[in-house]
This record gives sequence, structure tokens and C-alpha cells, in this order.
Amino acid sequence: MAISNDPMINQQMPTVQPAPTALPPIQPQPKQPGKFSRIFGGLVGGALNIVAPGAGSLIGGFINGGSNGVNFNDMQSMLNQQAQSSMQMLAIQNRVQSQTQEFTTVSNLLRAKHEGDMSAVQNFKA
Amino acid sequence: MRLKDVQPTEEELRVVMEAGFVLREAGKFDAAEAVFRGVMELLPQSDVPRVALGTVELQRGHFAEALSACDEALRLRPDSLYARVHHAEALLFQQRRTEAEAELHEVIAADAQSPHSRTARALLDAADLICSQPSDVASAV
Repeated sequence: MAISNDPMINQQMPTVQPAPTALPPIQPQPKQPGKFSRIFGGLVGGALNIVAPGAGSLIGGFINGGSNGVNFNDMQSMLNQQAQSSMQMLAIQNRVQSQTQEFTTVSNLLRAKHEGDMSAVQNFKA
Repeated sequence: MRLKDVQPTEEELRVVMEAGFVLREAGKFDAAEAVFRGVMELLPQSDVPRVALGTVELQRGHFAEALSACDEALRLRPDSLYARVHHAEALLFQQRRTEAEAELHEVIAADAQSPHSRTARALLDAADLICSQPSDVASAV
């Protein structure tokens, strides 16, 4: 839209067209991970997946350069969730272990008492 | 028929006692008590039916009666490890852990290979589950 009626002011400047070039414009390429990073990332990811399922893939992916849009906060949040899950799993394992121990103790006691009863009956005299 | 006319053999008495234990394990405490009291009438000098009656009382949760039955058995046979181990068990359920553990250790010391010593060891292992109060050794540490 014209600001003024003055043709001197409203004179359209010719747009400068870029000079045609023979080469297509160069698009910035994301940095590709090195071969070592890819292998090392895969190894670390696999190893960590054994310890903390899920977190291994995340860390491995981070090392081999393929973060694929996962930012640091997302990763930290996922790691926190992973740590929480691991703690819950450890607590459950402790409870199961404790209950197994109690079951064994009570089972041993009942068996010993039964054997004691039978022994007393076998040995008593009329 | 009078009681003195009943003369069961040892084998018959064993079968009757085992029937009493089966009834106890099935939770039929009144029937088990009747069996053990009957054997007590037949064998007034034996500690075994008295201790068995004590174990029925123990399973009923009547710890004082269980203790009393085992005391009676020990009066008849002071060296009865069967009576002592169940006496200690009754003490443990009464939360008298120190006395119970001392008695259980005495049972083990008297004859380490006896089946009653195995029961004593199993009771010591289970003391934490039966008794809420910590043992003297554990509380000292």
C-alpha cells in the first residue's frame, strides 16, 4: 500500500535478483556421527539396557550422535522415571525375598514339629 | 465297660495319638482334645498326651493353658525334651522371649541330635516371626 501520492517516494525499487549459479544451493547437513561413535554407542546402549531397560537405548543413542530431537530435559525426565522404576523393582524384589525367607522358616518349623510329634509317639511306652 | 477294662496295645495307642494329631492339623481342636484326654486317662503317667494337649491349646491361642499342660508333663517327666521344647514354644508365644530362648538352648545342649532339638532350632529361627520383642542378643547389638 502506498504511503504517499508522491511518485518519487512511491517509486518501486527494482528487486535484485540473485545471480544465477551453476551449483544448487548448499543445504546445511547435520553432523554425521563417526564410525567409532556409532559402534561405541551401540555397545554402551546394549550394555545399559541390561542394567536399566530403556535408559540404555537413550544413552547409547546420545553417544552415537543420533539424539533425534530428544532434548536434555526429556532425557533427564526419562532417566528419572527409569530410576524410579528400578527402585520400585528393587523394593518388590526385597519383599519377595523376605516373604520367601519367612515361608522357608515357617515350613522348617512345621516339619520339625511334625517330626517331633511322630518321634514322641513312636517312643512312648504304654 | 470300665476304663480299666480297656487295655489297648502300644501300637493301638500310637494310632490313636496319630489320629489326634491329624485332627489337630485339620483344625478339629475339640475332637483332638477328646482323643488326647482319652489317652491321658489310659496313660496317666505319660508326658506325651499332655504335651499333645498343650499343642492343641497352643493352636487355639490359649498360651497359658498350653504352658500349664507342658508344666504338668514336665512334673511327670522332668527330662522330657518334648515337653520342654513345647513349654518354650508357649513362652515364646507369650512374648517371654528371653526365657523361651534360654530353654530352647538348654534343649539343644541336652541332645543336639534329638528331633526336639531340631524343633528348638527351628523355633529359634522363627522367634522373630513369633515374638515382636527383639532378643537380648539382638537388642544388645
